[in-house]
Amino acid sequence: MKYKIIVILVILISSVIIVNYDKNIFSTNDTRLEQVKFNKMDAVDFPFKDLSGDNFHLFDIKDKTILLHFWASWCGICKVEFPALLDLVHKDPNLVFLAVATDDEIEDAVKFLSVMTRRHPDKVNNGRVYLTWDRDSEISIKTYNVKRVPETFVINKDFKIFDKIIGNQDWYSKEIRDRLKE
Amino acid sequence: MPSKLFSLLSFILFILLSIPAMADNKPFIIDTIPIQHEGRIKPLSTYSEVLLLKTYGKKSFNEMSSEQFLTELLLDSKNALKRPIFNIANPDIVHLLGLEYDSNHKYNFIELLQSMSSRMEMINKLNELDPAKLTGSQSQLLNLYINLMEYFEIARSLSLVKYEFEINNIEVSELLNVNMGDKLNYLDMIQRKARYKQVFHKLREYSKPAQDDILKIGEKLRVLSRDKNAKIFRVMPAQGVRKDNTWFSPWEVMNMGEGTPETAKLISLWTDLAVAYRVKDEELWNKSYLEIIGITSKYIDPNKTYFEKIYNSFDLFKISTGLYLIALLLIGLYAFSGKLVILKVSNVIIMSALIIHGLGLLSRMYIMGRPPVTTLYESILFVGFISVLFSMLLEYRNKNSIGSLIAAFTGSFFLFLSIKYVGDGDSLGVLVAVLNTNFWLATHVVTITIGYGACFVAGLLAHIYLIQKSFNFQDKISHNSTFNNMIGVSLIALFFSILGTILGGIWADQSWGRFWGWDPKENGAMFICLWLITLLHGKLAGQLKPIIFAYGMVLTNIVVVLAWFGVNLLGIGLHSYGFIDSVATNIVLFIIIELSFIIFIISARQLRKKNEV
Amino acid sequence: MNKVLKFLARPDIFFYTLIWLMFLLVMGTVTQKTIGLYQAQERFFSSNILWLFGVLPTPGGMPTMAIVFIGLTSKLLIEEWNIRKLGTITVHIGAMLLLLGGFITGIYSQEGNMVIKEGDSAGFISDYYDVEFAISNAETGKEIFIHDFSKDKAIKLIKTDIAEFKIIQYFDNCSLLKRTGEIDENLRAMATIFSFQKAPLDKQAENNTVCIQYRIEGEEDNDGIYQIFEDMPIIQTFTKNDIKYHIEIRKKRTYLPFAIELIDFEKQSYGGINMAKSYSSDVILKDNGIEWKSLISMNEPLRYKGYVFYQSSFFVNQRGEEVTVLAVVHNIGRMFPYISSIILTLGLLIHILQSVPAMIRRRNAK
Repeated sequence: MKYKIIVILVILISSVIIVNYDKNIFSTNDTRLEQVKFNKMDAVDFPFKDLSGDNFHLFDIKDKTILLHFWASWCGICKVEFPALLDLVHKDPNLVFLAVATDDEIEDAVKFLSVMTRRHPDKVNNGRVYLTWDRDSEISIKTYNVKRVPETFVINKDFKIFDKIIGNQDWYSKEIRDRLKE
Repeated sequence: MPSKLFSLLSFILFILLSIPAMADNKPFIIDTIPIQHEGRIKPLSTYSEVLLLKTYGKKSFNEMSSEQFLTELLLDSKNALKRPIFNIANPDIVHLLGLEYDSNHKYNFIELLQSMSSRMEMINKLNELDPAKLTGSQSQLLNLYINLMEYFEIARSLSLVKYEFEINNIEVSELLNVNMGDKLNYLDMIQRKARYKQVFHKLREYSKPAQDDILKIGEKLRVLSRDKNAKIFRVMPAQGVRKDNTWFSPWEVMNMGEGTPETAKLISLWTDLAVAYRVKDEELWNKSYLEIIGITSKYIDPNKTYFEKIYNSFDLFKISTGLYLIALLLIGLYAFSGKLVILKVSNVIIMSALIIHGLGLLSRMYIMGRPPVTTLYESILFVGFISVLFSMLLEYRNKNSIGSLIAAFTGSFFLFLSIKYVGDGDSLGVLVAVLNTNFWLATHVVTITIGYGACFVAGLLAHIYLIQKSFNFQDKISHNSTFNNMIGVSLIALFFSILGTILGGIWADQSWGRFWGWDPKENGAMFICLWLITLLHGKLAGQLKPIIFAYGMVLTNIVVVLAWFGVNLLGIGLHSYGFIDSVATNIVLFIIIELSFIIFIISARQLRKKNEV
Repeated sequence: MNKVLKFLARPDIFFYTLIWLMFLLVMGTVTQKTIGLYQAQERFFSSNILWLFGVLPTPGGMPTMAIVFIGLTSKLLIEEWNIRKLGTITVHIGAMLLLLGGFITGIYSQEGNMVIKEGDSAGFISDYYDVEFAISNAETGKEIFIHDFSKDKAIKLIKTDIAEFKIIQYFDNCSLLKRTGEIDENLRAMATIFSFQKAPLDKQAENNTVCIQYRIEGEEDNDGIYQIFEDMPIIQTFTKNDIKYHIEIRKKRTYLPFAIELIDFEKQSYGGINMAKSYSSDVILKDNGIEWKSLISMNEPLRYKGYVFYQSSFFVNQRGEEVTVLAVVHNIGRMFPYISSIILTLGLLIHILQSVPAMIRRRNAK
């Protein structure tokens, strides 16, 4: 009898000790929910003509981060953010701005772009800004599947797309600046 | 023994060998391309079965497989929409729709749409009502309408890549900058919309035939643009532009800003697929098909989708149901003839069925990356598996055919039962947040279902014991053997039930902060434990005579069924997943059968006693 | 002594107690459909006496389980311990511990909710069911007086430093009725618009709204009859000596020795359908100037100083802000199930290995 009581008591006491040993520590596993990331993919080359009629290819632009930006002159927010984009690229020598106008008529695009050139001549003519009009939506719909504007692809030096930014943005914000870095 | 092993192995080999033969990729069938449906990425093969089951009620349409049927619906919609695919078993609905009810009662999309469209007011009203308040026919009608719309949406999912425009007018072709006789699809036309607008503005300047063509193009564009909301066909992988992992349909992808060079490539591949299907160009079909698989393989392991397609084509559970049934018949034959060879053959068949049954469970685990039991349906499959496994272990030790009998019976019974609970739609569904944890599903849920399985085996042993005892089948030694088996199995059942219940408590403690909350399902599990504890203690302490204990074990079956399905009927608590209306009647039926068995045995025993006197 | 133990350990007592326990379990489960979990639990499981048909006193859940516990313990003490019984003895010790843990949890555990808006922090937990009457300084939030209704519902007079509150009516659940016609001039504030009506208890205990009606006398302008109910959108105030006080009925609060701030709540869905895959709350725990960052997600609680915080639920408030609901538990008996289940299952396993192989054998009778 005595020995039984002792065994039961030992079990009890050891349980109580374990019970009171409550881990006052934080769980170390910081399992953040998996963030869905943009799936890095190859950019597709395409030929384009700038407004003065010179011919280029996307892949001619070497060793820079390219902002492949789709816009249209009928799109109000596109026009609003355009100067900001020019400014952003102007200040960062690693960036190149390739703006593809998806207007039906080239004249509409040119009208807005000439205003931009007049207002910000240094920013447009710094050699890192390419302006083109997308005839028959070859670049937008056919190659990049872009129908709505503004949409911007961020392409690295190896011609890999590493992010896509849709809608108008605060291009000065930290979040966007972070996204422009790979 | 070696001969047994040999036949078993050869059977498995036969099955394995037939896999590649059946999986041979035929041209002009879309099956392994992945789609996101009900939150999960799965092969279109699975989706096609779901769609066909919903509309037609079977996994194939006449001689067409579900995949063939889906491919036709996507790429040759005109033909597919004329097929009598809608199975309306309820004559009330057929009459309500003003159609002719016949023994076949299959209707095609076009006739149904016509009669539906004149009754839209009623359907809209039904749609606004609380689904719980609809009568059977009403909700069937609403369902039919929803299926009709889904069917049509799928038919229109690829309309943007199919060639709808043929330019046969030289004037128009010049204006649009295309070649004479070129075939264009919606996307090609949209690309040229600037040119088209210009042409349209100067319509009067062209010849009459050119004018007609231009107007026709405009009308077609207008009709096609109505399809832009088709979103069920989510075959465009999530590009990561958005936070959640949503895939998009071809129509949606650009409108949602999800377009990338990759989606552009995919869309052009679907265009090629549509062309290849139309002109029956096998080479082009295979090339574009493989390229689509190649691109999507970045998002889901193609082996997995391929495997799932094969899993679909086999219906392993149906095969093992058949085998269990055959074994059951053979055991019956053995009981009459007493030829040991028949028992041996049936044991081999049961083992093969068990292996196929297990393969089915393993396949589901592989596809979902989850433990075997996550839904009511899967719990039935698993309980069946466990019951057969335990009974065959009994048979292995006893070699008296009782184990085989129970195995064949439970195997076919649970697999038949499972058919009722597949539900329409994909039986491989995603899980609510709290269940989405593999560790606890693998421990708690699996243990508790093993407990259920063991309980059923013990319960059936009790049936056999009672029959043996009351009708003096065999000798006393066999009676005692059965009785001891029953106690042994019930101890095992108790072990798994207690372990499972406690593990459930620990899970609850881990995720909700309480070990025990008197939730109906928890109480159900505890009730099984208490019931077994009471019976075993009662027998040990002499309160229960062996015969009463056996009655108690028969009742265990009822207890398990109530804990398993019954608590869901209360419709309360944390575990009320998988609630199905017909459950109630089935449970009542089951209880009646078990109770009448007990009454039957009692009266038989009374009668015998009288005769003896 | 031995005689008493022998009586307590009698197998027939144990047997019939188990049957009674099963009866309670069935009743407590089935009645949840009509009276809800909380009431069923109070009536059948945590009760001392169960009034059968309202008149017949029978043992409730607590004494029934106590009898099982005593029976088990006595049995252990009088039984002869030998290796043959190793399995069953271990099982019984395990079961004993499990019940013991249950009693400790039942008596000492604390649980409640913590509701935090994104960007806010909270330092207290609110009980799920119990309510309290609280007076606090409207500006500083400092509590002046608390009356716990779960301890005394029938209280008639609440005496505080600022005034005396004469409780006229108390309802566990009530509905509001708009007053029509002549209005009694003694009524004040909300009481002039609505009257209370006693409502039956809701199946979901948390849906019940406690209401009280009280009278203030001898406080000049403040005199009159007031009505307040739980979580009233506009808080009743009381002004004395130019200090404004809040008077409210709310879920009983337990203050923690630390605070938790919610930085971000995140919900992840399955692609393409509106079904949550997982929730998580990114929080900072603040204790005496020390700040810890932590993530609470489904099945991944945060433990600190004996308190455990679980992701329970969330909602978006009227202003569109995300609000997380954490379940908070403080339970010193928490580890008992873990230990007892190990012992219990181990014992069963031993017992099975000891006895079952002999039971399942060909022609093994006698």
